[in-house]
Amino acid sequence: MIYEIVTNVFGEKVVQRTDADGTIWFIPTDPANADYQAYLNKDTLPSNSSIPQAGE
Amino acid sequence: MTVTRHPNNQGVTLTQWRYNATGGETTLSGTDAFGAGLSYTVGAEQVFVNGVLLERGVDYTASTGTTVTGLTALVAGDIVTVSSPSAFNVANAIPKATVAAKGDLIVGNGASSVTNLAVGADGTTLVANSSAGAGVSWTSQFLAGKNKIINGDFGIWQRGTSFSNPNGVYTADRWYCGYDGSGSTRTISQQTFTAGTAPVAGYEGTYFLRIATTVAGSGQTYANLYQPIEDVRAFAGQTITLSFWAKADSSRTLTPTYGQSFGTGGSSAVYGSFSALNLTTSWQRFSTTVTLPSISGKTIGTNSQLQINLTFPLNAVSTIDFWGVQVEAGSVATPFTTATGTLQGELAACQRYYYRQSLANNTGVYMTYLGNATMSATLYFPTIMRVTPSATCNINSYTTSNSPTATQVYLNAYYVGNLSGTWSSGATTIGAGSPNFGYINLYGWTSPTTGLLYSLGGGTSCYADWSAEL
Repeated sequence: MIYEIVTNVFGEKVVQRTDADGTIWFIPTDPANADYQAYLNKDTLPSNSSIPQAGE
Repeated sequence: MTVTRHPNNQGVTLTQWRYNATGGETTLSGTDAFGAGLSYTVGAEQVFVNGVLLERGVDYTASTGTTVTGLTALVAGDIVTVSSPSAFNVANAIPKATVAAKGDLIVGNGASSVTNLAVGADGTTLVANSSAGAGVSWTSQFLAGKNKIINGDFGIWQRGTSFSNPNGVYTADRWYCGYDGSGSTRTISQQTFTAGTAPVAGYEGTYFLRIATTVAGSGQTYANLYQPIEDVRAFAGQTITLSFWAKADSSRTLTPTYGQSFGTGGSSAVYGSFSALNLTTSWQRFSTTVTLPSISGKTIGTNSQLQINLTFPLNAVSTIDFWGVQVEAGSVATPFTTATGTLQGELAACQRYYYRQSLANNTGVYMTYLGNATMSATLYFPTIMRVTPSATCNINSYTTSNSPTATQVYLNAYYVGNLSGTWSSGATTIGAGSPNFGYINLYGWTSPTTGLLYSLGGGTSCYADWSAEL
């Protein structure tokens, strides 16, 4: 993922995230938005998918 | 005189007949001083003279129910009282043997007739049923609200119906897939039940979810298909039961897990496991119960959640099918129902977290020229989303044709025609202003007519995505 801060047409700062498949997401700087939280904590948060598994 | 009372609360009435003697009577019958006729239950009567109880068969004879004979001649002024309980027959008492097992009920099945109603299956409810012999029967209720899993019947697939190597993405609505390791290949897809083959009679599921791993890969330590339930407070400290139907390509063991994630800025997550479940090649309902830890003393941050994780086999070629996932309070898996009980309710519940707005064909979206080479449209969401959502869209280019390719759009103004111009995907932004609405902007226009509404038309694969997932 590649993050950039861009300004939208209304003059607001938003986070632009480019995924590996080329999809571009525009993420509001809303603290309650999970994608924004992931951006803010991208260097510290573990992957959201890594729930430990008890095994088969 | 007739006195009615209920000795020992057994519903037996006591009748008293009182007579003032005129002298010389040895036989009693007829009405007493209060107008009540002498009537007694033979063998249960008691005869008193001036309060002294006489001895049946010695001091008197009472064999008819309406007369007392054989008395020693009464003296004028004697007060005779004949007391008798109403008739009852202990043979009408319901024997204990009517019930056969724990939970059985004795119910009426007609006038003066009872029968045993065997206890129902776990979670069933007793309802009146005029067609049942007992007039009542146990039934499975499809009630909404008990199931905290949204889209538990896999009826909503806004993002698509097939996902290749879906690592770190949502698949069917609300269902997130993630795994580690390397080299594995898998697909999550929507599968359709053949009519009449859904695992629950009376609840014809349409779709189920399949995880097909075709290349095992190696090094996997987790393989998760989970749903994040909003707010870690959900079921905290409570006993919950997870239930679902599943089958596999061969005998497989899955151990569902849970996670209490306290969100960004919150306490460290707490994880645990349900019981191991043995899948077979046939649809089978599984249920497993745990008591979730209390959240007392924890700090709850942003986007906290309770994760219910079905899991799938690690490092193995396998096919697992899931349907009818339910998480509810208590230790009994009650009959499955979706969280909302309706298809429209499930869609709305899903769209609180994610909404894909098709921009195909005549979209109903109208753009206006804002100036600064920008066309803009406001898009309102059908459901207020959880938070202001992230946004993306699948629009790659512009055409003046009314027959766009899959990812092309065109703009048409009434009586003016299609807007001319060239434009590419880099000239698009999309975003949300609040949990209620978003906007889409297309840049690069050269002097479109101001004041006109341009209808946005798109190819079959054009869409806007709004995500407020946890």
